[in-house]
Amino acid sequence: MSVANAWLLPLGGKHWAAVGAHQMVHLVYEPQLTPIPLTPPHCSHALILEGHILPVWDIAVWLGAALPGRATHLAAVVAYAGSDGRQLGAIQLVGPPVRATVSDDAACPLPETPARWRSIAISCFRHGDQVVPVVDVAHMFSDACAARRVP
Amino acid sequence: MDRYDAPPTSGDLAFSLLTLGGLRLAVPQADIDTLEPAADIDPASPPPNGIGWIRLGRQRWPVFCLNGELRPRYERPADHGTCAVLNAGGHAIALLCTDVSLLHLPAAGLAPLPPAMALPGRPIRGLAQMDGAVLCLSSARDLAEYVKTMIYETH
Repeated sequence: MSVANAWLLPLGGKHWAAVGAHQMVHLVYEPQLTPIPLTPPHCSHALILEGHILPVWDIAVWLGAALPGRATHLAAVVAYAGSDGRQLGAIQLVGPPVRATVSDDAACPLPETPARWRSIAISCFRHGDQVVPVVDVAHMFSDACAARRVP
Repeated sequence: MDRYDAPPTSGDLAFSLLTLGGLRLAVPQADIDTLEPAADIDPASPPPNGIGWIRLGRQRWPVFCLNGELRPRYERPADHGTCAVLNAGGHAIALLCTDVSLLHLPAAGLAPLPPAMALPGRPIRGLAQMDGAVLCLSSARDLAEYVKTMIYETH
Protein backbone atom coordinates (compact mmCIF):
# COMPACT_ATOMS: atom_id res chain seq x y z
CA MET A 1 0.00 0.00 0.00
CA SER A 2 1.46 3.37 -0.95
CA VAL A 3 1.02 6.70 0.73
CA ALA A 4 1.40 10.26 -0.47
CA ASN A 5 1.66 13.59 1.26
CA ALA A 6 -0.85 16.27 0.39
CA TRP A 7 -2.04 19.69 1.38
CA LEU A 8 -5.75 19.98 2.06
CA LEU A 9 -7.09 23.37 1.01
CA PRO A 10 -10.22 24.81 2.66
CA LEU A 11 -12.16 26.57 -0.09
CA GLY A 12 -15.33 27.73 1.61
CA GLY A 13 -18.89 26.42 1.44
CA LYS A 14 -17.72 23.23 3.25
CA HIS A 15 -15.56 22.26 0.27
CA TRP A 16 -11.97 21.09 0.47
CA ALA A 17 -9.50 20.24 -2.31
CA ALA A 18 -6.10 18.59 -2.25
CA VAL A 19 -2.83 19.20 -4.05
CA GLY A 20 0.39 17.25 -3.78
CA ALA A 21 2.64 18.34 -0.95
CA HIS A 22 5.31 19.37 -3.45
CA GLN A 23 2.84 21.49 -5.42
CA MET A 24 2.07 24.07 -2.79
CA VAL A 25 5.13 26.33 -2.62
CA HIS A 26 3.96 29.40 -0.76
CA LEU A 27 1.16 30.84 1.33
CA VAL A 28 0.19 34.48 0.96
CA TYR A 29 -1.53 36.23 3.88
CA GLU A 30 -3.85 39.10 3.04
CA PRO A 31 -3.09 38.85 -0.68
CA GLN A 32 -3.50 42.04 -2.66
CA LEU A 33 -5.78 40.94 -5.46
CA THR A 34 -6.28 43.09 -8.54
CA PRO A 35 -9.53 42.50 -10.44
CA ILE A 36 -8.96 42.05 -14.16
CA PRO A 37 -11.99 43.03 -16.25
CA LEU A 38 -13.78 40.65 -18.59
CA THR A 39 -12.19 37.51 -17.20
CA PRO A 40 -13.92 34.31 -16.02
CA PRO A 41 -15.70 34.75 -12.68
CA HIS A 42 -13.68 31.94 -11.09
CA CYS A 43 -10.34 33.39 -12.22
CA SER A 44 -10.84 37.13 -12.29
CA HIS A 45 -8.01 38.40 -10.10
CA ALA A 46 -4.23 38.52 -10.20
CA LEU A 47 -1.62 38.99 -7.51
CA ILE A 48 2.08 39.83 -7.49
CA LEU A 49 4.53 37.51 -5.79
CA GLU A 50 8.25 38.15 -5.89
CA GLY A 51 8.02 40.00 -9.16
CA HIS A 52 5.70 37.51 -10.85
CA ILE A 53 2.06 38.12 -11.76
CA LEU A 54 -0.07 35.12 -10.83
CA PRO A 55 -3.64 34.28 -11.82
CA VAL A 56 -5.87 33.50 -8.84
CA TRP A 57 -8.44 30.71 -8.94
CA ASP A 58 -11.49 30.65 -6.70
CA ILE A 59 -12.63 27.04 -6.72
CA ALA A 60 -15.70 27.78 -4.59
CA VAL A 61 -16.90 30.20 -7.29
CA TRP A 62 -16.26 27.54 -9.93
CA LEU A 63 -18.40 25.12 -7.95
CA GLY A 64 -21.18 27.66 -7.51
CA ALA A 65 -20.61 27.74 -3.74
CA ALA A 66 -19.48 31.37 -3.52
CA LEU A 67 -20.04 34.64 -5.32
CA PRO A 68 -17.30 36.07 -7.54
CA GLY A 69 -15.10 38.76 -6.08
CA ARG A 70 -15.44 37.72 -2.45
CA ALA A 71 -12.80 38.94 -0.03
CA THR A 72 -10.00 36.57 0.80
CA HIS A 73 -7.35 36.58 3.50
CA LEU A 74 -5.24 33.69 2.33
CA ALA A 75 -4.03 32.25 -0.95
CA ALA A 76 -2.04 29.11 -1.68
CA VAL A 77 0.60 29.43 -4.38
CA VAL A 78 0.92 26.26 -6.41
CA ALA A 79 3.49 25.18 -8.97
CA TYR A 80 2.73 23.19 -12.07
CA ALA A 81 4.33 22.26 -15.36
CA GLY A 82 3.08 24.68 -18.00
CA SER A 83 3.87 25.03 -21.69
CA ASP A 84 6.77 27.33 -20.81
CA GLY A 85 8.14 25.26 -17.99
CA ARG A 86 7.43 25.71 -14.29
CA GLN A 87 4.52 28.06 -13.72
CA LEU A 88 2.86 29.45 -10.62
CA GLY A 89 -0.76 30.13 -9.82
CA ALA A 90 -2.74 30.92 -6.70
CA ILE A 91 -5.85 29.39 -5.14
CA GLN A 92 -8.07 31.35 -2.75
CA LEU A 93 -8.56 29.79 0.68
CA VAL A 94 -10.81 30.49 3.65
CA GLY A 95 -8.34 29.14 6.19
CA PRO A 96 -4.89 27.63 6.54
CA PRO A 97 -4.12 24.44 4.60
CA VAL A 98 -3.78 21.15 6.46
CA ARG A 99 -0.99 18.68 5.83
CA ALA A 100 -2.15 15.09 5.41
CA THR A 101 -0.77 11.71 4.53
CA VAL A 102 -3.09 9.83 2.21
CA SER A 103 -3.00 6.12 1.56
CA ASP A 104 -4.39 4.19 -1.38
CA ASP A 105 -7.20 2.67 0.65
CA ALA A 106 -8.65 6.14 1.28
CA ALA A 107 -9.53 6.51 -2.42
CA CYS A 108 -13.21 7.09 -3.18
CA PRO A 109 -15.33 8.28 -6.10
CA LEU A 110 -15.64 11.97 -6.85
CA PRO A 111 -18.73 13.54 -5.30
CA GLU A 112 -21.73 13.66 -7.65
CA THR A 113 -22.35 17.27 -6.76
CA PRO A 114 -21.23 19.84 -7.52
CA ALA A 115 -20.80 18.29 -10.94
CA ARG A 116 -18.07 20.74 -11.81
CA TRP A 117 -15.61 18.83 -9.67
CA ARG A 118 -15.31 16.49 -12.65
CA SER A 119 -13.77 19.25 -14.75
CA ILE A 120 -10.87 19.95 -12.41
CA ALA A 121 -10.34 16.88 -10.19
CA ILE A 122 -8.35 13.78 -11.10
CA SER A 123 -9.07 11.65 -8.05
CA CYS A 124 -10.64 11.78 -4.63
CA PHE A 125 -10.07 10.40 -1.13
CA ARG A 126 -11.69 10.33 2.26
CA HIS A 127 -10.08 12.21 5.10
CA GLY A 128 -12.00 11.72 8.29
CA ASP A 129 -15.58 12.62 7.42
CA GLN A 130 -14.51 14.78 4.48
CA VAL A 131 -14.45 13.80 0.81
CA VAL A 132 -11.51 15.62 -0.74
CA PRO A 133 -11.02 15.84 -4.52
CA VAL A 134 -7.46 16.10 -5.78
CA VAL A 135 -7.35 18.95 -8.29
CA ASP A 136 -5.35 18.99 -11.50
CA VAL A 137 -3.56 22.29 -11.10
CA ALA A 138 -2.02 22.33 -14.59
CA HIS A 139 -5.45 21.80 -16.11
CA MET A 140 -7.04 24.50 -13.95
CA PHE A 141 -4.48 27.11 -14.99
CA SER A 142 -4.67 26.20 -18.68
CA ASP A 143 -7.34 27.68 -20.94
CA ALA A 144 -9.54 24.60 -20.56
CA CYS A 145 -11.89 26.10 -17.97
CA ALA A 146 -11.78 29.74 -19.02
CA ALA A 147 -14.78 29.93 -21.32
CA ARG A 148 -17.14 27.75 -19.28
CA ARG A 149 -19.81 29.70 -17.51
CA VAL A 150 -20.49 29.37 -13.80
CA PRO A 151 -23.79 27.48 -13.35
CA MET B 1 13.73 59.93 -9.17
CA ASP B 2 10.07 59.99 -10.27
CA ARG B 3 9.50 57.52 -13.05
CA TYR B 4 7.95 60.16 -15.26
CA ASP B 5 11.09 62.27 -15.08
CA ALA B 6 13.62 59.54 -15.56
CA PRO B 7 14.63 58.90 -19.14
CA PRO B 8 13.64 55.49 -20.43
CA THR B 9 16.31 52.88 -20.21
CA SER B 10 17.24 50.54 -22.97
CA GLY B 11 14.61 47.81 -23.16
CA ASP B 12 11.78 50.04 -21.95
CA LEU B 13 8.63 50.33 -24.04
CA ALA B 14 6.49 53.45 -24.26
CA PHE B 15 2.85 53.28 -23.23
CA SER B 16 -0.01 55.60 -22.57
CA LEU B 17 -1.73 54.88 -19.28
CA LEU B 18 -5.49 55.43 -19.46
CA THR B 19 -7.44 55.70 -16.22
CA LEU B 20 -10.96 54.44 -16.78
CA GLY B 21 -13.18 54.46 -13.72
CA GLY B 22 -10.44 53.16 -11.45
CA LEU B 23 -8.99 50.75 -14.01
CA ARG B 24 -5.45 51.47 -15.20
CA LEU B 25 -5.14 50.38 -18.78
CA ALA B 26 -1.93 50.74 -20.76
CA VAL B 27 -1.83 50.85 -24.55
CA PRO B 28 1.23 51.34 -26.77
CA GLN B 29 1.95 55.02 -27.01
CA ALA B 30 1.96 54.79 -30.80
CA ASP B 31 -1.69 53.71 -30.67
CA ILE B 32 -2.77 57.12 -29.37
CA ASP B 33 -3.48 59.57 -32.17
CA THR B 34 -4.32 62.56 -30.06
CA LEU B 35 -5.80 63.70 -26.78
CA GLU B 36 -8.79 65.99 -26.92
CA PRO B 37 -10.70 67.79 -24.17
CA ALA B 38 -13.97 66.21 -23.14
CA ALA B 39 -15.66 69.56 -23.80
CA ASP B 40 -15.20 68.93 -27.54
CA ILE B 41 -17.44 65.85 -27.51
CA ASP B 42 -20.63 66.29 -29.53
CA PRO B 43 -23.29 64.38 -27.58
CA ALA B 44 -25.92 64.53 -30.32
CA SER B 45 -27.12 61.16 -31.66
CA PRO B 46 -24.45 59.12 -29.88
CA PRO B 47 -23.34 55.79 -31.35
CA PRO B 48 -24.73 52.59 -29.76
CA ASN B 49 -23.21 52.23 -26.29
CA GLY B 50 -21.32 55.48 -26.82
CA ILE B 51 -21.72 58.97 -25.45
CA GLY B 52 -21.05 61.11 -28.51
CA TRP B 53 -18.63 61.96 -31.26
CA ILE B 54 -15.29 63.73 -31.52
CA ARG B 55 -14.44 65.55 -34.71
CA LEU B 56 -10.91 65.55 -36.10
CA GLY B 57 -10.64 67.47 -39.32
CA ARG B 58 -13.33 66.21 -41.64
CA GLN B 59 -13.93 62.98 -39.81
CA ARG B 60 -15.75 62.19 -36.65
CA TRP B 61 -15.09 59.24 -34.40
CA PRO B 62 -17.30 57.55 -31.81
CA VAL B 63 -16.60 58.27 -28.16
CA PHE B 64 -17.12 55.67 -25.47
CA CYS B 65 -17.02 55.91 -21.72
CA LEU B 66 -16.13 52.58 -20.13
CA ASN B 67 -16.26 51.83 -16.42
CA GLY B 68 -13.62 49.95 -14.43
CA GLU B 69 -15.03 46.66 -15.71
CA LEU B 70 -14.86 47.90 -19.31
CA ARG B 71 -18.64 48.04 -19.57
CA PRO B 72 -20.27 51.03 -21.26
CA ARG B 73 -21.40 54.01 -19.27
CA TYR B 74 -24.04 56.24 -20.79
CA GLU B 75 -23.35 59.43 -18.92
CA ARG B 76 -20.26 61.60 -18.87
CA PRO B 77 -18.72 61.67 -15.38
CA ALA B 78 -17.59 65.09 -14.28
CA ASP B 79 -14.06 63.92 -13.50
CA HIS B 80 -13.50 62.44 -16.96
CA GLY B 81 -11.87 65.32 -18.74
CA THR B 82 -9.70 63.75 -21.44
CA CYS B 83 -10.69 61.98 -24.62
CA ALA B 84 -8.00 59.61 -25.91
CA VAL B 85 -8.36 59.01 -29.65
CA LEU B 86 -6.96 55.60 -30.53
CA ASN B 87 -5.90 54.75 -34.04
CA ALA B 88 -6.97 51.19 -34.83
CA GLY B 89 -5.50 51.11 -38.30
CA GLY B 90 -7.68 53.13 -40.65
CA HIS B 91 -10.41 53.93 -38.19
CA ALA B 92 -10.39 55.33 -34.70
CA ILE B 93 -12.33 55.20 -31.49
CA ALA B 94 -12.14 57.55 -28.57
CA LEU B 95 -12.24 56.68 -24.90
CA LEU B 96 -13.22 59.19 -22.27
CA CYS B 97 -10.74 58.97 -19.41
CA THR B 98 -10.14 60.44 -15.99
CA ASP B 99 -6.50 60.79 -16.85
CA VAL B 100 -3.96 59.88 -19.52
CA SER B 101 -0.26 59.79 -18.76
CA LEU B 102 2.94 58.51 -20.29
CA LEU B 103 4.59 55.40 -19.00
CA HIS B 104 7.70 53.40 -19.74
CA LEU B 105 7.70 49.76 -18.86
CA PRO B 106 10.55 47.28 -19.13
CA ALA B 107 9.82 44.77 -21.86
CA ALA B 108 10.92 41.97 -19.57
CA GLY B 109 8.17 42.87 -17.11
CA LEU B 110 5.30 42.43 -19.55
CA ALA B 111 3.40 39.17 -19.45
CA PRO B 112 0.63 37.77 -21.63
CA LEU B 113 -2.73 37.37 -19.94
CA PRO B 114 -2.64 33.95 -18.26
CA PRO B 115 -4.54 31.30 -20.27
CA ALA B 116 -6.89 30.66 -17.36
CA MET B 117 -8.04 34.28 -17.55
CA ALA B 118 -8.35 34.66 -21.32
CA LEU B 119 -11.78 34.81 -22.94
CA PRO B 120 -12.27 35.24 -26.69
CA GLY B 121 -12.97 38.73 -27.95
CA ARG B 122 -11.80 40.49 -24.79
CA PRO B 123 -9.40 43.41 -25.05
CA ILE B 124 -7.05 42.70 -22.15
CA ARG B 125 -4.08 40.89 -23.68
CA GLY B 126 -1.43 41.22 -21.05
CA LEU B 127 -0.46 42.33 -17.58
CA ALA B 128 2.39 44.37 -16.17
CA GLN B 129 3.49 45.74 -12.83
CA MET B 130 3.82 49.29 -11.70
CA ASP B 131 4.48 50.42 -8.14
CA GLY B 132 3.58 47.00 -6.82
CA ALA B 133 0.22 46.97 -8.57
CA VAL B 134 -1.01 45.08 -11.62
CA LEU B 135 -1.70 47.00 -14.83
CA CYS B 136 -3.81 45.73 -17.71
CA LEU B 137 -2.38 45.89 -21.23
CA SER B 138 -4.36 46.30 -24.41
CA SER B 139 -4.08 47.97 -27.81
CA ALA B 140 -6.13 50.26 -30.01
CA ARG B 141 -6.98 47.37 -32.31
CA ASP B 142 -8.16 45.13 -29.46
CA LEU B 143 -10.22 47.89 -27.89
CA ALA B 144 -11.80 48.83 -31.23
CA GLU B 145 -12.66 45.20 -31.87
CA TYR B 146 -14.11 44.83 -28.38
CA VAL B 147 -16.22 47.96 -28.74
CA LYS B 148 -17.61 46.59 -32.01
CA THR B 149 -18.47 43.31 -30.29
CA MET B 150 -19.95 45.17 -27.36
CA ILE B 151 -22.28 46.93 -29.75
CA TYR B 152 -23.47 43.69 -31.31
CA GLU B 153 -24.01 42.01 -27.95
CA THR B 154 -26.42 44.65 -26.70
CA HIS B 155 -28.34 45.47 -29.87
